[in-house]
Amino acid sequence: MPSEVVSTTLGELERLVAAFSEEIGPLVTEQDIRAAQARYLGKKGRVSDLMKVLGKLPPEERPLLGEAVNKARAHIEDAVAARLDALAERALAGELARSVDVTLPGRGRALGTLHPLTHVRREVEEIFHGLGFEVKTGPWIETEWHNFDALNTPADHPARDMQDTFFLQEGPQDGPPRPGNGRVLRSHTSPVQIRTMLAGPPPVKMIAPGNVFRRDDDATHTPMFPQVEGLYVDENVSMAELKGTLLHFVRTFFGAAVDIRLRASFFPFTEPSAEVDAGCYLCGGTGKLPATQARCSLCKGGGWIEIGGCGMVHPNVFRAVGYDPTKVTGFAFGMGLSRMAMLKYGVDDLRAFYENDLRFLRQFR
Amino acid sequence: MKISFAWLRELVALPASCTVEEVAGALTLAGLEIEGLHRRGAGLAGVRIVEVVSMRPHPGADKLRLVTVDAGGTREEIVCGAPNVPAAGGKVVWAPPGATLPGGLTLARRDVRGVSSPGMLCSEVELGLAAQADGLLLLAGDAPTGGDFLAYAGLPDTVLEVNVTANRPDALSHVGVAREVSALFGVPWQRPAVATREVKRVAGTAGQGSVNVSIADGRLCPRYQATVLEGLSVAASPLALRLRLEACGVRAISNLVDVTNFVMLEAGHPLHAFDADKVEGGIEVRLARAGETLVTLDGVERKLEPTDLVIADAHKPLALAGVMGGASSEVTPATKRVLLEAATFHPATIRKTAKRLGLSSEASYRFERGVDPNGLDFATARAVDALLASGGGRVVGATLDVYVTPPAAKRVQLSLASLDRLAGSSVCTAEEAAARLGAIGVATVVERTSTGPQLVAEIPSFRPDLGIEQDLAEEVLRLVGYQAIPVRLPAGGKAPAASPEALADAARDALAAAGLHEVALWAFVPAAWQRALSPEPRDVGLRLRNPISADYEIMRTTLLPGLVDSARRNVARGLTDVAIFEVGPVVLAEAGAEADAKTGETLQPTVAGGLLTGHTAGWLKPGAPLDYFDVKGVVESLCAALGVEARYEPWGAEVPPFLHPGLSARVRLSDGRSLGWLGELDPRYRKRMDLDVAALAFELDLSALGSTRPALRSVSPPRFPSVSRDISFWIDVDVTSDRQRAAFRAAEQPLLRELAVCEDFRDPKYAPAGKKGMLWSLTYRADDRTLTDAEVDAAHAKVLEALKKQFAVAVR
Repeated sequence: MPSEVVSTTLGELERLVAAFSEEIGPLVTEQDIRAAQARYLGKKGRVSDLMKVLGKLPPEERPLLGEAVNKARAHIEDAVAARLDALAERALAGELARSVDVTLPGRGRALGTLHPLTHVRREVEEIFHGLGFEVKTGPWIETEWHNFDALNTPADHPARDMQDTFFLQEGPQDGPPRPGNGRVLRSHTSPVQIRTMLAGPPPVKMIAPGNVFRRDDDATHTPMFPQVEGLYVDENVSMAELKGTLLHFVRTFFGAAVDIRLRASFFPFTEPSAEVDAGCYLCGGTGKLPATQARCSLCKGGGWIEIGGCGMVHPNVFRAVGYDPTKVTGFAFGMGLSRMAMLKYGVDDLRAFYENDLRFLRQFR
Repeated sequence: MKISFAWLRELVALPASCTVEEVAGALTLAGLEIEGLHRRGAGLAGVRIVEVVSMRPHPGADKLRLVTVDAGGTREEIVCGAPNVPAAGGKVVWAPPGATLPGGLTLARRDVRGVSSPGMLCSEVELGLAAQADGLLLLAGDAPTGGDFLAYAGLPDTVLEVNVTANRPDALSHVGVAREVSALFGVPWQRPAVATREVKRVAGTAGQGSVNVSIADGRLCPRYQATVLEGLSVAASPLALRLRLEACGVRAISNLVDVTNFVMLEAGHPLHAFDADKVEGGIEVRLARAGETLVTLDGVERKLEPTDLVIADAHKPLALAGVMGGASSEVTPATKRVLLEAATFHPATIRKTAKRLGLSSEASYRFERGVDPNGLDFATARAVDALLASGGGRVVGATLDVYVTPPAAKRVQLSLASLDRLAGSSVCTAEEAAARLGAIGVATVVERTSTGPQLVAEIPSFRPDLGIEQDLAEEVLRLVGYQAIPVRLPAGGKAPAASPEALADAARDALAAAGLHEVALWAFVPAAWQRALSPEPRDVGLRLRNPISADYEIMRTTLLPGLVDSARRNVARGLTDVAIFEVGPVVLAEAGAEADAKTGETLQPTVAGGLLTGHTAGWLKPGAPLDYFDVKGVVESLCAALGVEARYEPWGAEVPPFLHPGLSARVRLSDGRSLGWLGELDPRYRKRMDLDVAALAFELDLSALGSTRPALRSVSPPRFPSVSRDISFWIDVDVTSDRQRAAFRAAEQPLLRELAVCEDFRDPKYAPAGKKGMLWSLTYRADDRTLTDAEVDAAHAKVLEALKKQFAVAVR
């Protein structure tokens, strides 16, 4: 039989273990739980206090009590671990219970946008860059020589009319314009051809995107509009390469099934000259909408959409820049970028590009 | 230009099966673009010519009458409301029951106010021939009673709207288009036959005949034919002729005038008919004299300039040559004698006068482009035939033909090799090419040379545009068809260099990434916008001599006004947060001056400008109003993207008048060159521009940057830990953070690696007057060891000392 002291101590130990469990039951922080643990198991803790009895016991009773103390210690440690686990689990459950309305918008300034005309210009540049065409730019304000004379457009040509071209005021008492020496807002990107050829010998393979200016302001014309000019000069450049280049461009830009056709036309700086039509991608060139068989609204039933002009560089243009027209040939083309943007994005009002209405522009991501 | 398909068919032997669409398609591909087809008389069937027999009032309606007509044997009584029902014997058009009208209406017997009416009598509107009419279409007495109206009127017809390019004056007529159609379809064409009459030919500048003609300058008037006719009577032209003129967009006036227009439309030669009794003395073709005036046919008195070519008599100008006739010699219903003019004039002179007076006529349109001087004989003969046929009368004497300068014969050669070289392959034989040219009236022979076949072409006077081998090549290729040219990609060349737009595009990407939307601003702005930039209005910028309107007057010198305008419009549309930018050129030269010294060209730097209004991004709670630091953040992002180190300086007295003096900065490159500005707009400037919300803007001159960003060199991340020390102090508000930073740096402590501003505290409740509280975080680090506290303390003390040495600082 254990001594009375031992029995008392064993009972005390049991009570301590039970009391500990009760004590940590409501505790919710690790810090509090550890503090409670220290109150029982620390050097001066209540369990340790009981251990002091141990030394006073006869040796044969010590193991019994020692074992009981170790058990009680283990119980308390287990209770701590279990309590901490439970708390951790509760915390995790709480963490995982958090949720948001995932459909609410994100924070921070949204991305801005590039203008549709910029998107189209870049796409055009990329396509021609892939064919080895270098991008060139030129000034808005040009001499009449660069804009007209060098492009085989002599002083009495209708295109040089005050009606069509913006002239700059050179002085407060300007008389009528003197052909040839005034400054104009370039009426096409073709002067960039001239500048590029003047800058170096052939071969030349370039495109020139940029704004041009004409005195037109109505539903289908803006006084400023973007064009892209192309020029390829080398020995033995022919209309076959012109057709190949334009076909590649149209198919890359509008779609692989789209065809082109050249129609005879007239520009002072090319001979032969042609208008470039692309097959209408909306109706597949049939002139009728596939779904309804109604007349195609885009090509007006014709099956073709005019996208620009082109031709073989006129010998007088080569002479103007000091190239020998018996040695080199070349092709040139020009296209309106706003028209291409309208076709590409289904924009039906040209003015939309210049209204700068953010409700329109924000779409072009 | 409008072409009547029925008329065209009379000139060229197209097979009956050939449709107008086929012809339009072929002409379009060959260079005469057909921009539209307009049907006339389509849907019109069963309409007949009837003769009015009698007329009585409608028993039930004041404005209606009952008209009895003879429909070729049968009599019908028709209810009619027109005011101009002719007397018995007059011929009108009847749409009987069963007839159809344009628009799909089929007529039936119908009760009109209690009287049964078999169909109706028609005006030109109901027949689909005109947009408006005063009453019934009245036909000439010789219209066959009971006959089919369509056949009588030369209907149905289709009008082709042709876009004739400036180089093709030969195609400005039915004959010219017939020649093209003939060549494209391989069918013959011919001019109508004309009678042969006596012509007195004079090679000099003056001649005598029924009327005397003298030409002052043969360059301005190379040829002038005058024919006098007498005993003419003025009447309306036959319906078919009138309809044809109207189909081609020319108003029918009277038989004498209509003939001149008819011949112009048919053969391309504008003619003019003078009332010969109003011409005093002979005809002089000369430049106008100072002070002369002329009342033109439209009733407007024109002040003439010495650059205007006129047709004058002994006393006065009678007509503006090639542009418009004069009222004083106009053909009137009383005219008995006519002087018929057929001439050619200097194109640029005609164009100048027509433009100067804003008078563009069918005649000037053709003379500006060049009329074939060798076509006058046909035009005169054709017109005289028609005048005699419709006006009676006779020719007085001979036609006087003063031909000062006939065009020189022109021969152009084209080698087959050149043709193949332009086309990129062989598209036809030399013989086929010669045949193609022959078909459009360019007589061509093939010569064999050592370098291959050579085409030698005699250029007819109606094709002034053909002057070099490329011109001939184009003719051959367009007639063969451009579709015959093969498709080939250009051979590879050298790799293209980078785009000169690369920097501008990088700026666009950076600004879009920063949340701004790219806009497209006009290159020209109203003068008022330029003046508003400064409180003392002054004109800045290059002015256009001929702007379309006040909206497009002056070349922009900055993007700011356009951005402000766009922001204002968007705010007006109900948007509160507007963030926009553009990257593009501005034009810096003052009128005529400040051009680039080296090239003489106008300075056109590319700038990046932007504008922000509204609040910081956020939802559920409103964001804070945007301020200086928001726009600076955008500019910093832009600079970072472009690899630019920028400095931001207070303006002081130099602040531009459109910027808020305390909330804006000048931006400089690290080498001190000016890069631009940023900040809040001055409220007074906003008021001048009508923008009633606060706005932040910036503009940087990208031309100040190199075209390529500097090469990037990397540094390894630090291997030893760093230590931070904060420092907080009061300092004068006007000591900028840049100056404080410089003061810290002046301590030259190598261990000090980073300096970060954490606070700029100005609450007047706490801050001493004129002071602001600054909080900096300074980071110390060595590259070769972990620093001890003692080392850091020593360095930090020296840094603080350096600051105190420069500024009155109270550490907090």
